[in-house]
Amino acid sequence: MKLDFRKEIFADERNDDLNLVGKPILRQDILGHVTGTSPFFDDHKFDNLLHLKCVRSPHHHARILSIDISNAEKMPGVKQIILAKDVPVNLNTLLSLLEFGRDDEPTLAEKKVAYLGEPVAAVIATSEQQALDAVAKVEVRYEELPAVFDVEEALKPGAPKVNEAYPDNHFIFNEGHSCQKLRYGDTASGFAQAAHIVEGRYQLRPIEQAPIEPNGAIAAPETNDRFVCYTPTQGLFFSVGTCAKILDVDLNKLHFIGGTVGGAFGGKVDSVCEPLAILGAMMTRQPVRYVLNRAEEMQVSAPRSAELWEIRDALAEDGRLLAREFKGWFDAGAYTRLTSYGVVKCTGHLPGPYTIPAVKSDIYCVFTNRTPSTAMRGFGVLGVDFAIERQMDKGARAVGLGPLEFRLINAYRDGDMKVTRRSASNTALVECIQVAAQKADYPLEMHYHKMSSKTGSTHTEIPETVTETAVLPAGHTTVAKTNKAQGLAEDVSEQTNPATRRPLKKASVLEGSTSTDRLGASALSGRSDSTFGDIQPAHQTQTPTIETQPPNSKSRYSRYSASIRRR
Amino acid sequence: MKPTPLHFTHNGRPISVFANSGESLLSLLRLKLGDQTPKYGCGQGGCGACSVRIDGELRLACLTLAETIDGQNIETVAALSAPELDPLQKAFMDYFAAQCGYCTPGMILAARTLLETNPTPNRDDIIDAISGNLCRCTGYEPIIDAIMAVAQKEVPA
Amino acid sequence: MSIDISRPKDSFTAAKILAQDRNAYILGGGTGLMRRIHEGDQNVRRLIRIHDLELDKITRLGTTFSIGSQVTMSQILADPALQILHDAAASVGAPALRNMATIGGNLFSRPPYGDLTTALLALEATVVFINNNRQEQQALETFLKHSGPRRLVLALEIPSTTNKKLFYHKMTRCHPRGASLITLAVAVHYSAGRYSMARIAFGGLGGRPFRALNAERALTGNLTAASVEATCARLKDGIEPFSDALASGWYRMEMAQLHLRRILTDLL
Repeated sequence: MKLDFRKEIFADERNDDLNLVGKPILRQDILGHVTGTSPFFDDHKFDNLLHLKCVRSPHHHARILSIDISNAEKMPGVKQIILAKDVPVNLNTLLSLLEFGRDDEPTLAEKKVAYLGEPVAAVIATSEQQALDAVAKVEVRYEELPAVFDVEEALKPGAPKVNEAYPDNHFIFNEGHSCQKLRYGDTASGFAQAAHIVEGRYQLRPIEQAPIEPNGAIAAPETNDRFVCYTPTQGLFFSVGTCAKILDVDLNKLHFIGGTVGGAFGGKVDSVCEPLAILGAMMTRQPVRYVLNRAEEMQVSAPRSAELWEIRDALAEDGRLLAREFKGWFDAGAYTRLTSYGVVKCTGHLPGPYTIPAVKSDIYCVFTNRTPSTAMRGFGVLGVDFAIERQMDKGARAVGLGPLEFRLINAYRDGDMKVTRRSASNTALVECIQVAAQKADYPLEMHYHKMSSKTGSTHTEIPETVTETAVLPAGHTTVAKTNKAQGLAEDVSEQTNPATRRPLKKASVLEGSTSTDRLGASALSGRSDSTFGDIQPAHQTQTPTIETQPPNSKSRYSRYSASIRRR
Repeated sequence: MKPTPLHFTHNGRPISVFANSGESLLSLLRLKLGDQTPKYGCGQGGCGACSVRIDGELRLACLTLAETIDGQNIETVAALSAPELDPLQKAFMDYFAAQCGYCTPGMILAARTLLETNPTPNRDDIIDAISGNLCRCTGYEPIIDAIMAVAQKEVPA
Repeated sequence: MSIDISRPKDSFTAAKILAQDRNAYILGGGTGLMRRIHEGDQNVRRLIRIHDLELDKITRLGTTFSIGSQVTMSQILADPALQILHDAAASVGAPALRNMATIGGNLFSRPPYGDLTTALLALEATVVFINNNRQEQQALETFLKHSGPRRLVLALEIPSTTNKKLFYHKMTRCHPRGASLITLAVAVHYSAGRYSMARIAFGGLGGRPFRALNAERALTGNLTAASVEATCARLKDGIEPFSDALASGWYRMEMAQLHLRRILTDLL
């Protein structure tokens, strides 16, 4: 299958003198792959290896009345049974590393279970078979609770309370808001002027990443009270930080070795197996292997969130989009994991690669008794992109234009102002559509062929923006410092209007940075055409602040995160 | 239950080892013999990552009771790698037929088995031959291209 | 360790162990049992190995074929005399799995498996088995209805396939292979340009494959468009397909009628 490069487009921006990018270079690990010798996390032999399997809730939602391990402990080969009380810090949320969100998820459930398959105890034995036999002998008494599986049902008054940290079944954004909000321009005015209004309601089910290699980890004691952990994680530093917090150890006590990942697609970020494997190694002083079997991988490991969308478009007679309103619900399942971030990431992605002078969005991160969801390919944006493109097709029909023509009219141009209060630059949607039309033998009239991303911007200034509580004047650039976490939104009061295109050249664009957002966040997002991307180096010039200990953290880990911010 | 003594050949080498009762061949190969080329993907016979050859026949090690292979020849992808790379291994490299690499040993064994019984497969034959090997990364086309390329070179002019 | 293995020297001993131990299972290809062991199924505690008992042979007794319970799908596919079973055998799993899966194991597989059994039902196979220390025979259709006693299956016998055709369809979501939503086998007697004596079997509509006897009765006599419609309508009588993650019961019944209609209409 030959790739069609179309290098004549934007040729003046490119010297085409790169040595590796764009060249068919052999992967550095392909020889290992074809000989089966690439080292995956499970390809490590240990003497005295023990195997960990979890006791899991058979209920979607239930109180735990008692756990009796007395029969299980006596089973042959059993070395240790871990319960909630053994976990040093048994409440966490992944993005506490960025101080985003409340700690809401236990490593092992203590008072209740909130999703089918939630781990309640961990059994460690000399063989996997023995561990499974002992798991069958752990007796847990539950009191079933009503469960909710639908985002709209979960937000109704009287719905079962899924997540103890969020009593109203939704994540709290920006210190008190029930959803992540975006306000840009005046959508009410756009709808009042519209010749056509197009509405749509769209759904996406959860999708399991289903890598052929399941989630797992092997941990073992090293010298000096240090522990090595072989893991398929997508974010090595992220996993180290998560484990350091849960296990209440300094980072330098953990030696993480990653590398070859047998497929992940977003499903190996949550670091669910590492903490228990390491804790098992700590308690038994032997190597401990914890691998999900395929049934666990399908049911228990976090899939992509289910999403629900309502989109409303205001269209002018000539096909221009005047306003777009979004209402979205991400189904986080029982715990936050990364869905809170997915919502913010999604918001930065709106309204799609189109110039719309008024946009409004409310996106909820909702808790239900489904399996906790997390990142997957096109994290946070795949669902809304599907919805947006269906809306575009409907809009085209409403104004009597073909689907490509409608998109060409509304596509970003360089210099168009985006809802993130930055000017679009290096846009290329127009050219992509033109090439696609040609390849699909889709006849475009000449004036569409003459369109260019470099010309024809129609909306270059930040408009007056109407919110529920205020009217922000035109040109207002500062958005509230949101979500109290570095890197997720920043003060954009510096330059917002690079109308010229940035050439592609060998000089590095990002000077070295040690901010935690880059370490943590970079592994999480497979960026598609995200316009939220450029993180300006402005952070490095900010005056460092010494923060007091955040209210939720009880561990010495938080002292470490404070020292990171000081750099 | 007492472990069972086994004598068999593994990639041409004679092996004497004990199998625990209920132990799978996959576990025996990986944990006891240190041959980690067959992989665990599902334990259900659906993904093919554990593919091995037993007396020349393609089988699934995760579903094979280890003690049943007494006296047989076990072949994993390690047998194809030496002294020189198998043409399939070279083709997989050239055609970008591996990304994460987890399905690759199974794919190569399935392809090698196909070419031994049908040296002139068409595309549908190849698809059928690898229908027991799941890949979540490549979308299969580069894998099929690689196998086809080897098939076409291996046919005498 | 936790799994015991028995290697009985003869079939009657194997059958006795099976009957006496509720947690003992005959090891065929292992495609079902090894998975259950791996997932910690506490009901599987003993495997009975019968590979040494010569149950892997295909023999002819006059016009009848006797297929040993340890015969694999690949063996069936390699035997041109069993052409009538090839579509069904080829639909089971994938190449490596077909080298392991046995017809005995397929007999006891729950949905979404058990495809070959559906074909054998339509061909009016007989089961040869050991029960209460005696070798017995029973029509497969009857055998599948009684799940109480634990019996050791020795062989499946297929009566003469002369002038017989088997139309087989396995409905999956993924091609070329996948779990079965429904499996349908229609066996007809073909003589002098006419089809008769249709036997219709379904898998995936109930806990075990079964013969759709009501539908078969509606087909007595000549095959006409009207009788085809009547047959498909009768399919619903007394059958309540289950719903699961793969498909709803409603969808299964719709597809069963659709595919049956297609097969029968092609014969008109």
